[in-house]
This record gives sequence, structure tokens and C-alpha cells, in this order.
Amino acid sequence: MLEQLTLGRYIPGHSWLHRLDPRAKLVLACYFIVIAFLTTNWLTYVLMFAFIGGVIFLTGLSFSYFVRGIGPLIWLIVFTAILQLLFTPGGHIYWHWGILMITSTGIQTSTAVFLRFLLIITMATVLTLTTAPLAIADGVEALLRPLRVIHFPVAQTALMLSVALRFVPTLLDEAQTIMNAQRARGVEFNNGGLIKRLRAIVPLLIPLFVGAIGRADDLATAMESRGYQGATNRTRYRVLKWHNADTIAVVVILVLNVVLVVLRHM
Amino acid sequence: MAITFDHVNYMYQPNSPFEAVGLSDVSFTVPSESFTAIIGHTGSGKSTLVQHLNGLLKPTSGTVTVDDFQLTAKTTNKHLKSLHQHVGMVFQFPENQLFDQTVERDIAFGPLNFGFTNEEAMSLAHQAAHDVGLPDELLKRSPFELSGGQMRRVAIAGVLASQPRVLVLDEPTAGLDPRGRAEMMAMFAKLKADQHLTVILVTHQMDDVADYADQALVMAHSNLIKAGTPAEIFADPEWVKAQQLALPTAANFAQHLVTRGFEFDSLPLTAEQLAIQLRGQLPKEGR
Amino acid sequence: MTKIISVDDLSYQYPDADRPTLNHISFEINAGEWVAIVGHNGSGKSTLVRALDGLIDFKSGTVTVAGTKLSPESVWLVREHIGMVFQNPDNQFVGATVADDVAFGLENAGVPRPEMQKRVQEALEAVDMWQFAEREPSRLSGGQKQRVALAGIIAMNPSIIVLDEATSMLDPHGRQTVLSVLQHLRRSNQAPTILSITHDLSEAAQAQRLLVMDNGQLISEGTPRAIFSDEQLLESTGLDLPFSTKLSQQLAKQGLVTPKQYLTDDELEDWLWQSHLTM
Repeated sequence: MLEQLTLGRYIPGHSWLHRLDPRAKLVLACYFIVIAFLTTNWLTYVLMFAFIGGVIFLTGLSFSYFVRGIGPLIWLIVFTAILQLLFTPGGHIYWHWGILMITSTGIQTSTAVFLRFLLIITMATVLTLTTAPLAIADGVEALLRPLRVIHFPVAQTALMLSVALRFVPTLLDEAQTIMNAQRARGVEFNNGGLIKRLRAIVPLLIPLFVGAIGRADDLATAMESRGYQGATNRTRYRVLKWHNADTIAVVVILVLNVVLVVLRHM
Repeated sequence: MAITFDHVNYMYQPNSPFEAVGLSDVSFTVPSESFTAIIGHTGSGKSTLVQHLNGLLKPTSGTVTVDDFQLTAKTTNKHLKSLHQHVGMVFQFPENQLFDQTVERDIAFGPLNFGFTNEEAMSLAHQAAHDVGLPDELLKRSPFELSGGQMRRVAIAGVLASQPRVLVLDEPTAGLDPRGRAEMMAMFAKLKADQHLTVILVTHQMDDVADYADQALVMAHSNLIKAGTPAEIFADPEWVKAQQLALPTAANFAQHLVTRGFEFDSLPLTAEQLAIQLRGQLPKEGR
Repeated sequence: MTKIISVDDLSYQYPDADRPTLNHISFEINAGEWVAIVGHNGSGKSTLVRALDGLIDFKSGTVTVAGTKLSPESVWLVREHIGMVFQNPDNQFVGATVADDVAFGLENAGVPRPEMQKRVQEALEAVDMWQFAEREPSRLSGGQKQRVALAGIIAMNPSIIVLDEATSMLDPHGRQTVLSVLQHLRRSNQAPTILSITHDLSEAAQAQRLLVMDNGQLISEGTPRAIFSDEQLLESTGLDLPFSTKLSQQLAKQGLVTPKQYLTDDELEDWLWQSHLTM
């Protein structure tokens, strides 16, 4: 099931979206997520879904891949929407039992929650699918750079983020190996009640932590031997370049915002 | 226990952009109580293959038979437990899986999971610790206080304690020094003889293949490209080289001697075989 | 010849250990020499080379690298002279891609970006990994990762390269690629001093001199030939016997002539050929 989940994955490629500057993509995605909350009537939803459809087209990946990839999360969205549905008072009451009720306002808000959630998750998926983790880290650093004024350790944070991202696949591999080893010793990770499942996690977590601490120790030694003395006076190998396409992307999202505001009042 | 692979295919993450072939139409038989080596490059499919031996992976199509147990795409996880118990797996760097507070409890972890009573599990743990040569005084210690070599023995005892009939070893000597390697390989040979185990060894050490294996399977690009006795596998040095594999040291040395005019009936694989075949081609001592 | 490393009476005990890991060690290494340190696991080899780089805080003895006595004040200067490759290929890969990892040391040294780009490319070409510059480490083999680690060091152009069991976790092919990079480097203009810890006899045989460690002590040193001919020493320190020695032993078992002294594999081959001709 989790193998199908696409949020957080990166698929290397050369689409127009892949080539955008990560700063542009981060701004674009965040901006889109904020204005997703400006949706009101069906026209605004059509606009936003049409836009995200266009964005998916630009990733060069198939629609069905997105549909299947978001599949595992759909239940989370449905669950949230149902909570909204059952606990929102106001408007015409169709049904109620104790504190639970279904009202006309409830139907409206839960529909809105459902659709906005879907927009947001799709956009976040597009961002991670088309942007390498390292590029996201670079983008975040660049966008955080103004915070240096208030002595926020931007460079250290960026290095930490990039090292952490670098070790995610290594630790996932290790977790898989340890799980296999313990399954071979008779552990059932997906069987039994809550207590049994929690107990099954101990033989996974302890070796994983011991291993990670060992790795961290090795890494610190290697970094020190390579002359890392903190973030001062370092130069940077990787620099980001802003292209015309990035400016176009930002203009497009601004136009989307304007059209959205107009449609809200129609 | 005999093992049979019958047209086994395995696909990683089918129907996604990450789809990849793991095994492609692999068929072979491992006789009961034999010693089989699996060789091939990193990424050739060796690990994927051995994970089918105890059902950690299930074939996408085809059948794996271990004794009377059949593993197919349809086998449910519930039925895998007896397979897990009968096929013990020692992964690469197995010391990385230790977790319990004492050596004794870590070794007993498998038997307890397989339904032995606490008493039985402890007795099995002590027996397994003895079999791998761990001194009794270490049993109450924390496994994390031991040396690397001792930790590895604890992990191996943890697999043996469940009394498997098949022992799968994935590069069990990686990272050990030469003496540690030799001791560990001798230990596996003894375990196999004493407990009538079927042993499957994944290795890059061609000398171990020559010294210990009854048969070898050569994997490349998810395919089984050759199966036979070590003598058959290494008989064609050109082919071995083309697969970017090495010859056993003695075979390689013998190859050099062939170019110098020595003659061998079959390519010697060990120093002993080489010396025997050099009789009649060298003067006797004291002449 | 100029001394590039001098170690004098170095001792060290880990805080929670019951005996010293390094016990009164003294030796010298000449500039441009290739020296291998051998000994069984736990004999103190890794601790010794870490001491050279100031990665452990020893209290007793002195270490002098390229004329600089190692001290808390001089440690960063000493580290500029030494490039280290460690055992585990995964745990020393800092960068998110191959090129980023090679650049890490250069970034720390504050090398300007155009110069950095040039040196990253040259170093990656030297280890034959330039075509993988944008790859992530999870998609590389162990041997490729170790070559990237070597490139990270070559880019810094240190006078000493220390390999702390850098090939012990690699398959034979990976090990061979790393060793051929080292041999190539030895023939280049830089010709760095190489200090390698290894269990592998064929790797040790490439060194000009071996230091043998046992139980925290330096128990012997000499040419590979001198060390390899001492069967007792090899066995007591947990090392393998050279193949030529094993074959000679088997020949003796068959009642055949054997050479009177230690021969390398190539020499034994010649010797057998000569004996064969006398038949």
C-alpha cells in the first residue's frame, strides 16, 4: 500500500516543471496552497482543478499514476471531510443523533474541505515528484536567507537538511533489512492486536537507532577529517539560477490568483 | 530439505515508474543436505533470490518448493511462519539486528516467536551459543558490549536457535579479518555436518566456493546463467572472466602454469588439488 | 629522504576501556612511501591512524605531520595534509550527489566556485566517476562510493592519503577499481604518501613497507617479503598465509621439492617452471 504512495517521492526527469528553479516551484506550490482556500463556488473549483490538471500534464507523468498515488491518502481526506460533515451546525438540519448532525452548512464545508484537501495534496505531490530533495533543500535555504539578519543559522540548517535527506534512503534500506531479519526470526509486523504490533516494533527500532547513532558518529568523524569547522567562511558548489521560465511561472500563478478572485464574485 | 525453483519470476513494484525485474525465469534444484554457493555481481539478483527461500519475497509467478512447502504468488502470510522457522537466514552484517538486553535473550528471541516455551527457548539458546563457540560467561552480558566478531556469532546463534533445516548465509564473513573468516567458514562446515543442514551461501569469495560448495549458481542481470559443480563453473576461465568474476586463487595460479607448459586433467581449484596434479610434473624432494 | 610522519611513544586508552588501545608506539614514514598497517580486528590500527589526524585526543606521545607537531592549535593545519577514506562507504558520503560530496572539502576550505568546479571535475575524472557526477549515493555501488570518497580527497591534493580499511566492505571488483585508482595516483605528479590499513595480503603486497600491530603494540615492521616469509608472525596476528606459502606446504605434503625460502606468487611460478624443466 505505502509502496504506491507518491507524496514525498522524486522521479528524475526533464519536463518543463523538472527544470524550473526550486525557489520558483516552492513559491508556486505554497502560493497555490494558500489561494486554494479562496475557492467558494463551483466556478472557482473548476478553475483550480483545470489548473492542477495542466500542471500534471506538464510533469510528463501519467494521470493514472497520480490517481493511484493519491489513493492511499484519499481515506484520510474522506475521514476529515466526514468529521466536518457530522460536527458542523448551521443551516437546515437533515438528521441528528446526540451531538452528531448533518446540516446544509455541514455538507457545504465538508465538500469544500474534501476538494481543497485534494488540491493541496496533488500540488504537494507534484512538487516532490518533480524536484529532487536536494533542490528543495537549496530552495528552502535560499528563501530563508533573509532570516540571517536575525541570526538564524541558515547555512547550518541547510546542511543539516541536505545531510538528513541524503540519509533517508540509507536508513530506509537499513529498516527494510532489519525487518526482514526479524521476520525471518518469526516476528509478525502486520498481525495481532495493537499491543502485539507495538511490541514487534521494538526489535526494529532499537537496531535502527543503534545503527543510526553509529552512522552519525562515522559521519561526524568524516566531516571533521575533511575540514568542516562549522558554517563560517565556506563557499558553495551548488548555486541556483533563475531563468525566464521561472519568472513566467510566477506570473502565471499571479494571474491565476486574479482570475480566482474575479470568479469568487460571480 | 530439498529446494526447487520452478520458473520463478519476480517484479519489484509492478505497474509503477519504479517497476524493475528482480528475477527472470529462474529454475534450479538444491538437493537436501548439500552446500550451494550463489555467486554473481552486486545487483545481479542474488539477494532477491535468497529472499524467496523463506518467503520474505513471494514470486510474481512460478513456484518455490522447500521440502513439501509450496510458495507462490497466492501464498498468504499466515502460512509463512513454518517456512520462516525451517529456513534460517543470516543476512549481511547480521550483528546489526541485535536488540535485546542480554545475549541469551537475543538468541532466544526466534524460538519464543515460533512458540517454544520460555524454558525450551533458553535451552535452545544455550545450545546455539555453544554451537557458535560463544563462552557461557557472555550470555548474561549486553550484546552491544561485545566485539564485532562476537556480536556476529550472537546473531548467527539467534538464527540457529530456531533449529532451521536450511541455513541461508548472505556474505557471512564480510568485514572479518582472515583468521575470523577462516574460523567462521570452518564453523559453518561443522554445523552442516553435525546438524544435517542444507546450506546456501551467497559469496564473492571464490576460494570459499572451491573449498566448501557442492554446487554453485551464477546469477547475472536477474537471470540464472549457469549452475553446476565448482569444477564445472570454473572449467572455462574465459567465460568466468567475461562474466567479470574471479577464479579461485589456485585455479588462477594453475592457469599461469598452463602457459608455462604444465598440463592439468582438470583445472585445480584448491592448493591441495594443484599440488596433487603437480605430482609427476615436478622432481621429488631429496633427489 | 624527508620524514613526513613521525610518531613518538604514542599511547592511548579509550575512557571506558580496561587496557590501552595504543601502547607506546613509535615509527616514521618517508614522503612518497606506501606503507600498509596490518593486524587483526581490534589490534588498534584504526585508532592509530585516527590519532594522526587528531580525531582522538591522546595525552601521551607526539605526532608530527609534515613538520607540524599535532596539537589542538595545529590540528586543522595537520588535517590539510591528510586525506582519509574510511571503511563504510555509506557513512562518509556527506553530499546529496556525487559532485556535491567531492566539493564538500573544497567548500570547507573556502575555494572560489570556478576553481571548485574545475577541481571537482578533474578529481572525478581521475577516479573515472565524472559521468556519475549528478547521481545520488543510494544509486551507486560500494566501490563507486569509495572512489567518490577518494575523489573528494584528490580534489584537496593532500600530501598524505590514509585508507582506514577502505576496501574491506567491497566486493572483489570494487576493491580492484579502488586499488587501481591508488596505483594510478602513485604514478602521477602528486605521488602522495599512502598509509593503508588492510587485511588483504595482495593489497598489503603493493606497499613498500608493512607495520604489524597486535594488541595495541607495533610488533614488527619490514618489507612485505620479510613479513610474508615469517609464517609464525602471520598466524599469530590473524593474517592469512600468502598463496605461494600455502602451495609450498601442499607440495611438501606430496613429497615434492619446495623452494628453500619465501617466494612471491610470480617467483614461485618461475621457480616451478625451472624445476619442471629439469625433469
